[in-house]
Amino acid sequence: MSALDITRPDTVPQAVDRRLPRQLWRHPSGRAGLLIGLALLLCAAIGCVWTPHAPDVPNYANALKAPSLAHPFGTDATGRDMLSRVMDGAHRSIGAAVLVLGAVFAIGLVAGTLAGLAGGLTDSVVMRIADIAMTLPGLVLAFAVLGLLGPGFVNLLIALIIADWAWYARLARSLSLDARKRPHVIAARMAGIPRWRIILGHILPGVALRVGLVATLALGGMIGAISGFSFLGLGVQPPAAEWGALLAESRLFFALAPWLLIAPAGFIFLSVLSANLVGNALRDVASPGEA
Amino acid sequence: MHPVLTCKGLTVTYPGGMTPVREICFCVKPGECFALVGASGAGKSTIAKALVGLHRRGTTVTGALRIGGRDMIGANRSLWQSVRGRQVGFVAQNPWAACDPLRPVRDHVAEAWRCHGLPVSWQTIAARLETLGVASAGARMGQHPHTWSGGMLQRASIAAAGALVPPLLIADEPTSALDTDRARSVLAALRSLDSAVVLISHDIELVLRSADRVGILHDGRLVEHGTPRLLRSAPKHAETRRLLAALAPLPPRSNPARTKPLLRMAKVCARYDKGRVTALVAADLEIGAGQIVGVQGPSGCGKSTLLRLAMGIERPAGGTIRRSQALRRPGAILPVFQDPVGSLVPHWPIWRSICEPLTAPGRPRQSFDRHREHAYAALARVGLGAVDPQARPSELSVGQCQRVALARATIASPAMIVADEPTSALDSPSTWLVSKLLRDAAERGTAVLVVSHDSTFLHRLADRVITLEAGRTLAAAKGD
Repeated sequence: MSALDITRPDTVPQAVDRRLPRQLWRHPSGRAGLLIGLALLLCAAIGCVWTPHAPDVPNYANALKAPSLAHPFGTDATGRDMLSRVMDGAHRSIGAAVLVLGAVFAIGLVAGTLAGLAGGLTDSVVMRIADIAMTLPGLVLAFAVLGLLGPGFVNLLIALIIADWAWYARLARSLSLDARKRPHVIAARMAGIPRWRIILGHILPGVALRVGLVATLALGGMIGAISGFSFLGLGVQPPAAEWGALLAESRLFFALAPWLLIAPAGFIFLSVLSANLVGNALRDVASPGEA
Repeated sequence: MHPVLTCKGLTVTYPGGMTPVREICFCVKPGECFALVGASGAGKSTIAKALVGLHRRGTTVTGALRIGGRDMIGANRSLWQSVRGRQVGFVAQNPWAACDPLRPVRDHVAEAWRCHGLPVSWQTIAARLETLGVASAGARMGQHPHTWSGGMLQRASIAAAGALVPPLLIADEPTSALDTDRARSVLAALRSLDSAVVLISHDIELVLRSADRVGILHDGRLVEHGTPRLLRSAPKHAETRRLLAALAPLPPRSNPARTKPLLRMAKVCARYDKGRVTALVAADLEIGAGQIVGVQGPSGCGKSTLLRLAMGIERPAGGTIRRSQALRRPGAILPVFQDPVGSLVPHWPIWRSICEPLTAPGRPRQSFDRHREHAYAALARVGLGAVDPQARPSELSVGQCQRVALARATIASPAMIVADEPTSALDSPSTWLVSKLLRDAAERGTAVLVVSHDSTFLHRLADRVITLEAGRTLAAAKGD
């Protein structure tokens, strides 16, 4: 056993079943969050293939224009359309957060379940590594890794994964330890079902669902974190657009063109809001009875 | 005589608009025991909370509710506080949950006086506990709740509820955490106070035995009420008849031929924690094909350990366990658990859980559709033919889940079924159905080993009942 189990299984939503999507849609804040999120995803998808203006081509004659019909969010210091920049950056901001959480989820799930079910030396080794990763605050660890690897978008993602995976491994481990003792697992063992089928059929889906739920709850924070690192110049490198990086660029011209901040800040705000609304609704729906 | 409690058209509405209790009318005369009985979800606990003003914030209670001559509809917090303890006492279901684990038991009883600003001496408390049947109360009441047994602690709760001799006590499932004998003596203790009692319970048998009048709750309505004798002889409402069906005798046993024992345990002992904790000292058990053997005993007597040894998922520290050839193949022993919902795979449709034992290696390989047909047939056999086989366990009631679990345990005709407290989470009708299904399995030649703290259930079901006490088996109590 490890010294401390910070993430206990009983704090994780329990009553999860196939009615979840419908319940989420019925929940007022869940529906609002889903609608905002879908709109942002649509925006990101469109931004991948089409933007009103070319996002990366400077047009100095058009620099720092106020919002107008042609440029709803104005243009930046080199005359690039802000709306196009934000749409182009959407898939990086959202995609990166999803990518990091997906990777963290997969690594955590595999490492944690392996540790929990194998026990013994495997458990000790995996969990000691996780403990090391967890002793440092996530931000500090991410800065340290970025310092080693150098700034850059891919490096930022790697740094965030290294900073975060251990929490999910911890959670997956305690959930799988708990699942191993569940009556339905014992019943399957008694029925003579082989171990691998019990793991794949009984234990892993339940653990994955709950760890996945927790990862979903973390989406808002992750979008904020990625934008934050890019804002500091440690993530996306120019001329590529990303909301945090756009915010950093716009900040320089705050006195001349304050409206430039509206689009990137607004989109970051909306995406964090949507993720948190859905997260809250998920918590309400999946663990009834808790205030 | 004026009634101590009058409810007229009592309706409780939750903040969401749900009305779990509708138009309840009854009154309770001084000294009488009025029982409210119903299946889970009938609104029993909601009524209990409304009667002591402990309903959740935002809940509205309408109709007429008079306690000791005072109108309590729309009463504010301070009025309720002055009434609680003096006019009405409350005994909760789980005595451990009702006590602060960090304070000694006597503090909990003393609180009943102190919260009304009244002085009380330890002698008074000890005397009250003694009259309720707590032996050497003076010495024990300084201990903390976790060292007390459930029956003793429930008596302490009763002492607290009756501290100021209120004319009315509300008891919400006061005995459901206790075994049958303790339940009986705790109820006797409850009746020994001179107060009228509103007894809320799911256990129709207990209620018919101990109450003066019984009300049947169904879907938030009081559908019928009368004396136990009247209800028993001439039940009018369908729900009453459904509840009374739980008292019907089980189908008779065809006398099982004497067979060679499947499992024989002799002088088995078991230890935990590197030998520091002894769970079993010397347990003997013998069970043959088609037999039903019950194991009873207080909690902590080693029942569950005995079961795990029988299942073969633990090894004994001493003694001998002989299994016949039929028990040695995998899948020969299938378990039924106390927690019916948890014993089914939460993310699978129930039919998949049911047919899982058929898919074990070594069984004849069959197509997916064949498995599904088997599962549907098994569902029909346990009387759940009308339930959607695609449903997940969380969409079923607890009683239905236990029947699904039984369908799984019996589908592959195992040599033995091992059931650990299979009915402790169920209401009386479900308990009856589970007993009948276990009987059916035994009639088909499966050995059934049942552990329970409910001796009524065991004696009705089993051919033989073994009593475990402090890790030793006492004499067989029934049958051969």
